[in-house]
Amino acid sequence: MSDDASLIAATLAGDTAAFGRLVQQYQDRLYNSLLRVLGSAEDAADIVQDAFVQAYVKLSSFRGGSAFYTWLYRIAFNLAMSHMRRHHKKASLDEMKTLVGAEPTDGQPTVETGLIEQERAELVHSALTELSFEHRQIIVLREIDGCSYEEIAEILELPVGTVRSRLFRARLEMRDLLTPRLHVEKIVDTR
Amino acid sequence: MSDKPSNYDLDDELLSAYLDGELSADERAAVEARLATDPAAQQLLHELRLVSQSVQALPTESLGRDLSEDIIRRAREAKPAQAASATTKTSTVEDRSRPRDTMPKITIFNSRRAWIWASMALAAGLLIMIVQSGDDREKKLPPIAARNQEGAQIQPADEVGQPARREISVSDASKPTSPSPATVAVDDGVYETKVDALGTAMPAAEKPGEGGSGRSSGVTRNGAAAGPPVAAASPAPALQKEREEIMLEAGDASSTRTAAPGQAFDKRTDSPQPTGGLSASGGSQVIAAEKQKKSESIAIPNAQQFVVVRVVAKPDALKNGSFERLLADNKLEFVPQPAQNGPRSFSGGKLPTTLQSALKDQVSNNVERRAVDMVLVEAPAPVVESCLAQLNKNENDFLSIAVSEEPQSHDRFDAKSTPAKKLAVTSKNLSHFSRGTAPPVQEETIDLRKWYYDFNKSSEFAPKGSPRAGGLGGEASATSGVEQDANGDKKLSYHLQLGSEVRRARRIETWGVNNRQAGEPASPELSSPKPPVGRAAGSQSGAKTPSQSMSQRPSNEQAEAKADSNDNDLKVLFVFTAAEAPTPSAPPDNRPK
Repeated sequence: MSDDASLIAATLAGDTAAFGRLVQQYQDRLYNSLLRVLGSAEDAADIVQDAFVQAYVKLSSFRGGSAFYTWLYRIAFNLAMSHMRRHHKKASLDEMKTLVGAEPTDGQPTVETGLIEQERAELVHSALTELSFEHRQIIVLREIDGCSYEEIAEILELPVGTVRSRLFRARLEMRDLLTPRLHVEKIVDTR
Repeated sequence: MSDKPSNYDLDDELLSAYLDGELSADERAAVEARLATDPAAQQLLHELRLVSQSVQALPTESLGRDLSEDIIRRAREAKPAQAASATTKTSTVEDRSRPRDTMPKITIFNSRRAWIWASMALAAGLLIMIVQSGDDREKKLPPIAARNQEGAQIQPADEVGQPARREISVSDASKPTSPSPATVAVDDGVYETKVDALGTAMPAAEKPGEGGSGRSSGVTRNGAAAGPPVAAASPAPALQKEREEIMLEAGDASSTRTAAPGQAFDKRTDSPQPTGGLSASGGSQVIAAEKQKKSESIAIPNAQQFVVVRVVAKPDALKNGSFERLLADNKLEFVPQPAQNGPRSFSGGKLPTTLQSALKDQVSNNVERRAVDMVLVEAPAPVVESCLAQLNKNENDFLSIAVSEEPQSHDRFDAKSTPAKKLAVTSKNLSHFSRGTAPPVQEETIDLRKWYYDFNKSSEFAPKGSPRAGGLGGEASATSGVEQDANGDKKLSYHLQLGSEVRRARRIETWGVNNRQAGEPASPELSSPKPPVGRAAGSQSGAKTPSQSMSQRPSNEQAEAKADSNDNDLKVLFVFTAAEAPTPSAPPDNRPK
């Protein structure tokens, strides 16, 4: 029995501390993914809590046919989708664009050679938030969480073939978004 | 990066999967073969790798705090509620292992559109409520009651200050305005009965040895065969009109509320029935009223032509039965009248002598004021013409005759029948029987509103042993003229039915004939003084001559009367006025003590 399975069994037996350990084990990973999907740290934290609460309440319905985190992600991503539909938020996209506003326009090396990794991360994050929600979540599941196609298919309840094609197109969209920003990266790289 | 359009074929998709290591061996081999020869594929793979690396290079963010405690606390709070709601769900929900089943249900009020729809639904519901509540009240009432709405609304407040509630009550003379133990209350068409009267009335009516009280009450409880009580058994219009009369005559000293006891009458038409009642045991009235309400729809008679014949007669003519003989000559003979020897309690018991005297005294005062005797005749036009012709010829007894029509404004119960129009034609034909000067009939004596239902309402006379009531029918089914009942009283009403023709006469309760002494019949056929017309008449007659007051016709007879009435029949109200000054009132022995 895996660690998750034993903790789940202990939780179902009434050991709430076991579920606490499950929370501790997956909260940051889930939060990180939701942060990239939702674009907002606050919303991501809320969804994380809601997802764990629902998982605890519905834990008896979990039969172990899949990994716990897959089941947890399914709950979390569904909650995230509902949240996005309600609020139509685009995370902190505007804030990200503010940072991107420093991008070069004349081809000259206007960016400091010491462009830090944080700025690059914000650049990518900004592009990520501009993706459609479907593309965003599948890229996050693949690139950030490292989920296999099979796991993505299970979380998103899609066929594997759809996962593959959707991920391909999401990458192309991401590439198109990053093209002007990667110019900066090239400059940085050249230096 | 490449500026190529994002239009790649399936092979390009394999490049992405190749990057992720998600291809089968064959696919991987095919992709590698392509990459070896296709620079574009190599470029695309490179770009895809850069994108993937860029995203993967994003820093890993963490919450920075342990959510486990908060989550467990919230989970514990949510668990009981969830468990409670889960018990109401089907087991299939529990069997699902897919996390989507744990998704929160999206409530409709989470969207603005849902609120709009909910608001519209609420508005529609309120609109329906308003529309329904705005319907006319009479639409919810029985047909008769609805028709009486108009009359009910114009009623003034009675003397006890209850404008909205009109009651026909039976009360003791000592308590003129006190609530009656037997009351049929009408509130805008909604009948209410004070059933507490049953508790006192029915046992009293069932007491043996009280002058047929047991039979009376028993028949009354049997419903259709019972003689409906004065007010309750009347058709709804009649009931309404009687109530109107109560209000109109409220100021009269002889009105219902100041009348002597004995104004509640429960009299059978097929047998001698005690009427009136000091005990005012109106339980049978209440019961009959309830039954009458069910049959009120058939109690409305057909519209008929109506003529009023005012006759100034010699007092002797009023005493010797000249007019009654005239009617008999035209096959309108007297029919035995249920015998009453005097005011009796509702259950049939004799009234105390002192009370009888008191009643006579009250009525005699009215007799002195109004010297009118009235007979209502319903017969085919030729028969009526024959009667009028004989009346016209008898100049010795009948000094003057005036055939006229009466205002029909009160005829609101059947506007469609246009009786006024018919009456105009009839009066034109019959007016040539007039001669002399029309007698100044006291209008308050004749309530012309009564004509419409006189024959059919139960509050008027019902002939004892009449063909209708007694089941006699066919040719020459008339009961022979002058008869006496068991108590020796003369009959009052006439009723003769020849074949399908309606020939009937009924004495209308009046205030009496002023030249007639109290207690003295006007003619061999006429018994004791007549009661006044209308509701007040009921009370007066009940006091003075309970034998003739408010005999009840069964509801089935009312329906029969409606059925055999037709437009060829005439209703003629003969109003007799004595030509001479009235003689002094009742002799001392008949005067109240």
